[in-house]
Amino acid sequence: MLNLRTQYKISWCPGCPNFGILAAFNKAISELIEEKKIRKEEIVLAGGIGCAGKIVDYINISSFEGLHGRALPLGVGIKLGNPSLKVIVFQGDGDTYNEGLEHFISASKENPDIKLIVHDNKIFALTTGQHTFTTEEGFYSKSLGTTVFEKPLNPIALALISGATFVARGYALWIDHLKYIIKEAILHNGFSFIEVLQPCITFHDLRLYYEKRMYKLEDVGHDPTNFEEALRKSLEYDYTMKEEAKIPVGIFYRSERQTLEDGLGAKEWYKITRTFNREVLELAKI
Amino acid sequence: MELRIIIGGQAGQGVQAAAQWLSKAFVKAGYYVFNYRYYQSLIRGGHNYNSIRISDIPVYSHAEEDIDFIIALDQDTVRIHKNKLKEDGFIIADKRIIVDKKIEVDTMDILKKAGSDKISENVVLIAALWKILGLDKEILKNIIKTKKGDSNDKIIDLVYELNLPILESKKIEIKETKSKYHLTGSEAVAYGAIMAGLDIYLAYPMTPATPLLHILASLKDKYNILVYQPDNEIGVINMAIGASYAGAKVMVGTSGGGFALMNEALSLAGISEIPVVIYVAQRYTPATGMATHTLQGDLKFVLNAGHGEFPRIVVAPGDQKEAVRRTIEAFYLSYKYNVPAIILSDLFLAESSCTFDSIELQELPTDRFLELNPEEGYKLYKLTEEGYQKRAIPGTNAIVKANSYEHDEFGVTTEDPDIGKAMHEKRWRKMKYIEEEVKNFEPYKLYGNGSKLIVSWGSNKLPILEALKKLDNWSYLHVSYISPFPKDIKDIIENYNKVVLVENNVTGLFGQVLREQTGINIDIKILKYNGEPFNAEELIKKLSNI
Repeated sequence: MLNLRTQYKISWCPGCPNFGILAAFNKAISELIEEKKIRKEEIVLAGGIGCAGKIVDYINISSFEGLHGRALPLGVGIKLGNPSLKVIVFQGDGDTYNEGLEHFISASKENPDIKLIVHDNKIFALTTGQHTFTTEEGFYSKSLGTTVFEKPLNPIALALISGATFVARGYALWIDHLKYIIKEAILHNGFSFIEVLQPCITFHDLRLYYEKRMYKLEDVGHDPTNFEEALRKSLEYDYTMKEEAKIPVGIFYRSERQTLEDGLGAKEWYKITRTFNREVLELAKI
Repeated sequence: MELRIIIGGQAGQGVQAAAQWLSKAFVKAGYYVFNYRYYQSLIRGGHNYNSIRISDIPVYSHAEEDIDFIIALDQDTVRIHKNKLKEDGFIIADKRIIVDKKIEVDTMDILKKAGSDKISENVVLIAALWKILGLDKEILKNIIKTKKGDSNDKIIDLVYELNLPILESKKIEIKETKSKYHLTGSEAVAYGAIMAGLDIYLAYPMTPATPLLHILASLKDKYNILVYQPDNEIGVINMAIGASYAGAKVMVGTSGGGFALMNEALSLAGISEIPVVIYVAQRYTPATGMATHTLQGDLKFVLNAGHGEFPRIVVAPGDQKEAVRRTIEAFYLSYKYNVPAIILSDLFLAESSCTFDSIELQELPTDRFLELNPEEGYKLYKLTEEGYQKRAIPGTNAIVKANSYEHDEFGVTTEDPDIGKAMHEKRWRKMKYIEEEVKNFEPYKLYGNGSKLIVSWGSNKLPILEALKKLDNWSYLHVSYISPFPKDIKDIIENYNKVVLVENNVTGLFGQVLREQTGINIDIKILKYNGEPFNAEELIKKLSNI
């Protein structure tokens, strides 16, 4: 396996499942490079703000750590600025479903060929424990001063009805399975969304809850080309903490349609030489 | 020779189209034209008008009095404007419009004969004016060529068959002259951006920046540019910064409210040192304000927008011709020095069109200022002596790490106080070089040689230059660069005993910046903030009393 780590000290909590996402991602990239399906130079990472976004500092690949909630449009811009790049965006649930929700719906609808990996720990962790849009009822939130009483958002269903062409859910500590999803997402031509269940072991440890209830979609013969079936599966787990819940992980849906950058005619602009073109002013000449 | 025309009607009656055709036709006939557009924020109804001033010498301002002709597409136009009519002026209108001094045209009869619908009533009326002035109908026909085929030609022919009076006193000669340039501020920014090497334009619609979006969208194939309307202004600017990081030359456009949404990312452009050009066309504010009315209320906003301290370019063109060169300069400075550059315009400049004999331009490099063969161990934020270097881009053999967090030279997040201090200083070191460079760009200009001085900025240049023709003993100092601020104007201003500040805002924002930058306080202020631009006549009246 290639060494893709930078030499910077990792500032996640010891044992944080984010290490699982980092390992799965580096394995996926490493394998794709070895399989000659991708070149390291063409990969660009975009990171949001929170524990998730920090990941880009730890990977020795070109990256842009942007603003909270805005790594996704930053990533879309990178793709429009040079469509030959493979853009992978890391955001948290706070980034994606709270601060920057409009960009999530927009990317799902507009289908840029970029990859979004959401580290969903169902909490604002770096700011020490407030609820996010995916936090379930009953969780004590410091910013609410009481327990959460609203229903959590279901990002899988939202991505599907918003038009995302690749929708998957992984688990941060099932590293090989997550690696498989990431590889498939990168090879997909269009907007790929991977929601990663990433328990925050400091503020919101759901490892046991998840591990008792998860099953793999590929083990039950799920057909990811069937939209209605994908939508039905997405509703199976509603992000609450019901005892009897079943949590499917794997690829819910994949389909193909024109990408945003193709529709807009994006190019490798840096290769185009433009000269000081005075002729443009002829348009104003009478 | 001077001719003043007002064309008015409801939104949807083609007031603006008629005014544009007429303006271009007069330019084609050898004259200089200033065409001011007044409109309301609605799709149908209300009252819109254009005030067109035609002259045989360059003209920079519209008129609201001594009007020669009013072309009235509705009764409201007569009610609102008839008192502006000159003693020997006329109103050109259909028979349904009730007013004295009318030159009547049976517009419905003409349209019926030409097989056209009511929307072409504007063509009937401007053709009538063209005939009354004794002008060649072929000029008008050539200007009005539209996709609708030849029905406009037929209308013009039919109008010319009418028995309309030819007013000897108003008759206009066609002048054989060289071709001229006639353009709006929006067109000027579009053409400047294309000349500067624009690759991508991103914008969410907002008056009065929307015309730029439409112009560039109409030219995207011709000039190989990408135009896209993302989800909102926050999406716009973050995408723009991403695209620029990836190697494209990018501009975004908006007005005050949309720019407010862009502020956090402006700060991102500042710390990540990724260039981006931002076109801000001011309108009447605060908040939604009056969407289709002008104001210069955002000067200190753009100057201070974005949290934190970082260098930026703010340049405010004064007229359409200047807007071309300032746009080119904004791109050059932004991409050479890796700083955000703001082109500050306003509704008056964006929507008005003006005629110029020539558009002189200093040819600047259209370079992307990229390092395409970076050496091993490339660092995006290298602490160079100049504070800037050519950027490498992802996709080459360099690892290019950009960051909104404070970062080390490689671009990785840091909380080290020594690195933080060094990075702040690195970013500000650039400003010295930018200041030097801007000195070559004529950051201000002194007009006239009177002993009293007008100081102003932005689109006020237009009515002030027009007023200067008739003012006795006044000079005008026009300041184009707000950041970096040309501090040496202090020496100029101090030469005058009588100095007047003219601004289209409530509190004299430029005056405040001037005081901050030079210590000079201008006590005498002429401020206008009702949503309308200055016109030359009112400035002459106000300045004559000083």
